[in-house]
Amino acid sequence: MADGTTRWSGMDARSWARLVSLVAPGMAPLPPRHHAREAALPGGMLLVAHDGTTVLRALHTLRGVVATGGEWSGRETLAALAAQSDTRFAVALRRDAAERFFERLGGRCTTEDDAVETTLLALGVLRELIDDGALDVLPTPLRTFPLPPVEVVRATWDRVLPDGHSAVVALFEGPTLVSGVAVRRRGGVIDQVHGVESLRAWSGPLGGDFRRDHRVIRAAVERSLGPVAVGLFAPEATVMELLRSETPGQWAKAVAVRDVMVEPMPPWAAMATGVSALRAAADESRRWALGADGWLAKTTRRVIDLAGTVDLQSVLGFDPLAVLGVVLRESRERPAQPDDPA
Amino acid sequence: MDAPIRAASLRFTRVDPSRWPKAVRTLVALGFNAIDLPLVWREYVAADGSPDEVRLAHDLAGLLRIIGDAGARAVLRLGPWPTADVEGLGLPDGVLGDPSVRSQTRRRNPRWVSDHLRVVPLPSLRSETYNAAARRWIGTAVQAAVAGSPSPEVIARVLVGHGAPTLLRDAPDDIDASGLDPAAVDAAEAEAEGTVGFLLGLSAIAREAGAPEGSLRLVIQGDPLASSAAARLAGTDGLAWSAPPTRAGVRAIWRDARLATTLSHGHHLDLHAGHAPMQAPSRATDALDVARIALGAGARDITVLHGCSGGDWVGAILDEQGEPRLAASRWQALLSWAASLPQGVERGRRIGRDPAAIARARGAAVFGALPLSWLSRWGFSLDELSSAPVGTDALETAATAAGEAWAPTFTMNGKDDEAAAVALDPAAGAMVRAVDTAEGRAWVLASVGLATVAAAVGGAACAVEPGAVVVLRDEERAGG
Repeated sequence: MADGTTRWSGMDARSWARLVSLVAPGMAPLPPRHHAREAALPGGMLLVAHDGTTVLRALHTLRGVVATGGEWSGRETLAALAAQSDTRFAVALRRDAAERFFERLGGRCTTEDDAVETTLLALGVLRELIDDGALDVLPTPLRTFPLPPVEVVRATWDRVLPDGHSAVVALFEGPTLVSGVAVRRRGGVIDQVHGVESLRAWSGPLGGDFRRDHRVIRAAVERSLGPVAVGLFAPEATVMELLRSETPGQWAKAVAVRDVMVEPMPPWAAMATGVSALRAAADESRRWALGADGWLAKTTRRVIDLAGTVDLQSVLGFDPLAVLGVVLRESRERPAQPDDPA
Repeated sequence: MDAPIRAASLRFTRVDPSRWPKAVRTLVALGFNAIDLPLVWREYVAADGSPDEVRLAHDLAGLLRIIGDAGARAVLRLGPWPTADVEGLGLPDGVLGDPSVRSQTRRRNPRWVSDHLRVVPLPSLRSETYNAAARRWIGTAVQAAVAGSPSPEVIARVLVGHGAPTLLRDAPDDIDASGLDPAAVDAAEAEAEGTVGFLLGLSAIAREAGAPEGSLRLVIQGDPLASSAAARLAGTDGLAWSAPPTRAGVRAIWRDARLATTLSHGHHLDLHAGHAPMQAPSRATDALDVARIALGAGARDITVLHGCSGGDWVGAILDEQGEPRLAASRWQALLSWAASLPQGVERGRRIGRDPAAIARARGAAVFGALPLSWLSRWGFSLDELSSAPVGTDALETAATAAGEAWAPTFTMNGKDDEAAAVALDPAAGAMVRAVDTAEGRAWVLASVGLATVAAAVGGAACAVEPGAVVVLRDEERAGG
């Protein structure tokens, strides 16, 4: 993971906002005149402060104060307030929650902790606060998903992005490379993160077809950062659609028909798409799954050939893409990209 | 030299020294008349842990010569925690690792603050060890700058203090003087006392080390109306206000504009062009919008962080090669327009000292342990944090009723033709100029989305109906 020693480079505001808001649409920055309009739509996040018996204040990230006073009766109140304010994401804090958080974190952290240890410690404390009733979250990912041990996360990192290797995401809008990021892992941490300006500078002029340009970009990243472990090259709109899709097998299908280029495809990515394809197969008819001509059957066979022994679901206890999909489907659409000069 | 300071920062240790002259010349060509130099303590540490005087003197002499040659002035941002985008709070590892320096929670645990994805212990401003080390750094840095400056006039500002922790508190995660809990108010006041002592100690050392007369400013962040300590400090060296990163939106932009109008009275305002990579993304034009409102409303001395960051920052005005990004031309247009604003008029408002106003601001922080700055990342202003009208709402009310503590009070310049400024039109984002010719007063109606507020101009009092006499001008003609 990234930490204070990570070097960030080549990021203009617009391309970075596009990249971040792809997976977190609520963080998309808006021009002032859009704000009032957005505030009238469903979505946003609700923050509720209570003292265990009374709601002190309920704040909505888009609409300001939405409630003051009233009885607090736990998650039911939070759900009701969330429904009233037309949002699905809500956090309730008892008055002592923050102090408890910092006390517990303060007693457990050390200066030697790296980013993985610190993140897991903080998540662990948050889960304790949920169990204590000092913190409530809607929906409930922290309660649902198990926190893996530090060693497991490190081992997963080693497989996802081996030390000395890099990864690249390049997103296109028409013929233009509009957003992207390249990262390198060295010494156990992400030591370099480069934005789209770096990708453009390294790659030089591109042809405008991501199915061909991906080779140029990959070679440029390998020259600048080192061997690429995994690369994702695709139209931005396609990735956005795939992230929100709840139909099993969409990623596998997109890879198979080259709507998305994953190059190189490491075993874990092959397995991830393979699992996705197999889930799709389970949903389809026997003829589809076993037939010789369907894309699904071809993809499944190819994926099984490529796949190694890594299964993120079995390692992490959940499928990150599936979780992200759930969250994104609950989110509002990413707003139209601002008329920002970069 | 009384010209308003319009500075852009150069994060020079991340930029190859061979590119310093080009970056400085480009920023000056865009219209900035000063270069803000954040000096990061941990980047100038000798083998024995003391400040590396030789390298510091070498770098500063070179930079100040380049800045002087470009016809600009320098703003020295000394910290000890100079900007939010530094590793380890900008402090040397030897200082961070010293247990006697650490701030502690009620149960004697270290207070940790986020440092990208890690955490580091927050230093206590009441620690004698930390005070001594910080004063040594400030003294060394000021001496190096003064010795290396081609002339004393090149140093326009010396900024000392912590820019990142908020609201004059020892601990950013501590109780934010919640009006719901009187004991917390007392505790916060005690914390603030430690901060006041710390800042005054630093300014005394900087003065002794030769900081040019009138150049010192004490850096704090957050809403000054939430702290009586701010008013006390403002009576000494003046303040530099570091606005939190702007999340674009009506409320956030208005909050920053309000901050600017409230604080511009002789103080130095920091705006963020872009953000640290781990912060929520913003638009390249967010800082432009805030700067436009702030300058129109009377902010006199500003720094735009970062003009040239050399990396580890998203959306600086110049890229890492010192070339202007697309938004740079808009900064050029804005600064050109700002240069045409009337000079010599103390617009804006003196810091509020009204205890009732301060109490109301504190009452707004209902989240207890969550500081306002944390909430402000979501774009909340005081208004949204309180059920009673404070901040912008109260300002709006007062603006139409000739109010008291929260109403802006402007000094007259006696020249009606100069008593005008600009703001944003709600529908088109165009510039609006409002002139009440019958009364011989001029106003700006800062109609930003939900709020229509008489914002800032040289009038005697605020007594204008929103939408009274409005002359629309398009954005280009207004220079924005």
